[in-house]
Amino acid sequence: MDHCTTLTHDSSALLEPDEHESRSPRVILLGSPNVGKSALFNRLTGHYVTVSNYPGTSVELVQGEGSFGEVRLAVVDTPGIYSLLPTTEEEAVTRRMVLSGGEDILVHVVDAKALTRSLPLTLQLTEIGRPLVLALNMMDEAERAGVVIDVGELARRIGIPVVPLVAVEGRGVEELRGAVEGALCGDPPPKPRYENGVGEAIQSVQERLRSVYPVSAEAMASLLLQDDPVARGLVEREEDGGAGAMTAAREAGRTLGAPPVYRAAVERQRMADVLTRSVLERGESPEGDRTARWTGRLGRLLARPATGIPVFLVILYLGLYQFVGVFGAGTMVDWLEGVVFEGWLNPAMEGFFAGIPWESVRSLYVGEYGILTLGLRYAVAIVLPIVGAFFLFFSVLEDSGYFPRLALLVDRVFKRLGLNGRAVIPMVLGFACDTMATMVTRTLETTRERVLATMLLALAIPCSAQLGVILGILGGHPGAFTVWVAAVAGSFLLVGWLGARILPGKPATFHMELPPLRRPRVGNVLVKTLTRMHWYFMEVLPLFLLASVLLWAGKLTGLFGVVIGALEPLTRALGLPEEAATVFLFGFFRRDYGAAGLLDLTRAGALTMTQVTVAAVTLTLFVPCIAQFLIMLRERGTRMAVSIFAFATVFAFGVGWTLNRVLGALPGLLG
Amino acid sequence: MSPLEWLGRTLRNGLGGGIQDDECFRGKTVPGWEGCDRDGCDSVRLSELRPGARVTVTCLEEPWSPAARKLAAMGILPGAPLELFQRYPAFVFRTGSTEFAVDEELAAHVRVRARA
Repeated sequence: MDHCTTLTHDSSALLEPDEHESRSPRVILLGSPNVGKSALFNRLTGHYVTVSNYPGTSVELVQGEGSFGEVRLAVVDTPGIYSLLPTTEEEAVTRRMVLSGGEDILVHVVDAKALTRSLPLTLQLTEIGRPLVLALNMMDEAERAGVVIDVGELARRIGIPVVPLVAVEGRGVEELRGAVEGALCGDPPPKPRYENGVGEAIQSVQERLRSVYPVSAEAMASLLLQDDPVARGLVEREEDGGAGAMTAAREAGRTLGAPPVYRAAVERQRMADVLTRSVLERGESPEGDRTARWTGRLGRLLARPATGIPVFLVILYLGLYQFVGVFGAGTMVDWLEGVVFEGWLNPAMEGFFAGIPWESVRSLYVGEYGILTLGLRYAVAIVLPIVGAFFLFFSVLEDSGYFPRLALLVDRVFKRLGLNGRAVIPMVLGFACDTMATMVTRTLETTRERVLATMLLALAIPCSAQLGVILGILGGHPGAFTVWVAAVAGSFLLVGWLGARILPGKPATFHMELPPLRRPRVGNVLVKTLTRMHWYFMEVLPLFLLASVLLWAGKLTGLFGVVIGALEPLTRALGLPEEAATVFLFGFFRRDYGAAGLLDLTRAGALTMTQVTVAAVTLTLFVPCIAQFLIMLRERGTRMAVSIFAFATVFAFGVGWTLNRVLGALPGLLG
Repeated sequence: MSPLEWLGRTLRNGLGGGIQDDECFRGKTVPGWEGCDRDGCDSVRLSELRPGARVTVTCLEEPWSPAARKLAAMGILPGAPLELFQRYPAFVFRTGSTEFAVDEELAAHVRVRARA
């Protein structure tokens, strides 16, 4: 694509041929978490992407296309970063992108209220040598807080276009499009002038760089000085293998008397402070406006255990039990199952298939385990409303900014389990769908944490599909319900604690930004909910339909019977009737199938209360469903996934057996 | 410090008092980076402060460590202003216009002094 950005270096020498090919320029959105990058992405591309304010959701780089004047360009949304020298994997991904070469246009999205904190990254980005646009987002909040910025002066001083925005309302987005289009033909921004020895240090390293790089030599020198791993890899291309540059960097470190990383960061902060002071006509009033004070106070309440924990329990009760459990699993499911499917769809489908002579084909579609009568019905009438209700509840909490407070409340407990507060996000998400949560474990910093979290998700976090049905079974029996909760929670803590002792290593330290609490915005919440539901539909449901087919095939070939035969002795050891073996087999294919099978048995009066409780506990702890297992294979590798699978099986049946004994000895426990 | 002073301080810390802002800052200059490794450094750790303290960051301990790196990435650098809100279950503070939470290990890496 022909455009007029002229870069001062020729990248052909060292890049792979396809990298050098004029790949169309992309617009890369960068910035710290919680600044509204995703909202801006929505506006620019018209695509829905999950809008979040905590690490863990936009794990994959999201790409779309947008119009910028006459030109259509790819737009990429990145996970939040605080600086170009990352500490997490998401940040590493973002960095690698920015440093990959190519004619990208960088858009740094910042919170207009936090100029002095944000400008250091802007300055770092100007070093790269690519066209840069600064997007001052959340101007509405800044105005409310009494902040007034001289945008023109800021643009003049940094030497890049600066566009004020309110992304969620779409204000300023057109101007941003214009600025990006203009940047296509503009010059790269002027480099920051480091003082206090840092400039000289960069110079000394730059002199030893002869090759050409995807970014300017100055940027390479700066990154090298700051121990950037990507830069260190790239510099090995030098004739001397990078020895000259590395020596210069070490020398510079000695001269500066402190890690250059910090000297540079301090310098950038100093420059940012100077800049902010010169363009801030009025700063934030010390008290903030009244809303800010209220939300500040509320945020503080949520972060203290004395008030935070009761609030959390109330949220759990209202959100999980009432909304997801009673409304979603009860009202919605009853309506969909009873009225829509049983009343109308099923008879229609059965009638349609009645004409087909082959029994096996009929049973595939409308038989006992038929794709339509069972697979589809379960997916749409049972799982979808429950999962949808949970996603809605989750998105409301997420948009309000609640999760970081919850994370800090549980941090100490999670540290005993080898994790830290940040793991609360995949854990909570696990209650919606463990498969999705297992993917989100990617955002945990160390492999050890990811393994521990995956195991806990596989073992002790019931997904909403399963949870809904189990609540249905145990709902009216508080005694049994309490035993179930105790057994599952106890397993969670026990296995977590043991895992932490067995796997060597320390958990990563806990740090998290606490964004201001906000009233959840309907638009945001709907977008987040629909995006997740869309993901669920596309990724998980097909596997459920596949499970139906496998069950049908298994039954037809008799393989089914063989596996049941193998499971029967196990179920008998738990004090359960043989029919329960089917429940466990189902539970592997789909957790809700298993739970629903249990529900049927209960309704048919085939089980005592003890047996129901034992079965419910064992089923909950039992192996992950097929979808989750596949994700585990992909994320953690075959060996780890199989080990967890095996452990979960043994542990689940072990607990079931023990529970059976305990309940047998203390019949009064179930009330 | 005399044994009596030491006893007083220990008792205060033990009772969750933490160190008073004005206690060890009298008349001493702010140490440079080296100050964190030197004995007698008179700036205190963030983890020793009481809620409500308003301080300025002087330096980061173990500057080459990943912990210090994370802190720097959050903007916790020498000269940054800090206001501590709570210590438990995590350290919650504000720097500039942003609130953060860190655990004790990270908080112990931050050295501060009272704001003039």
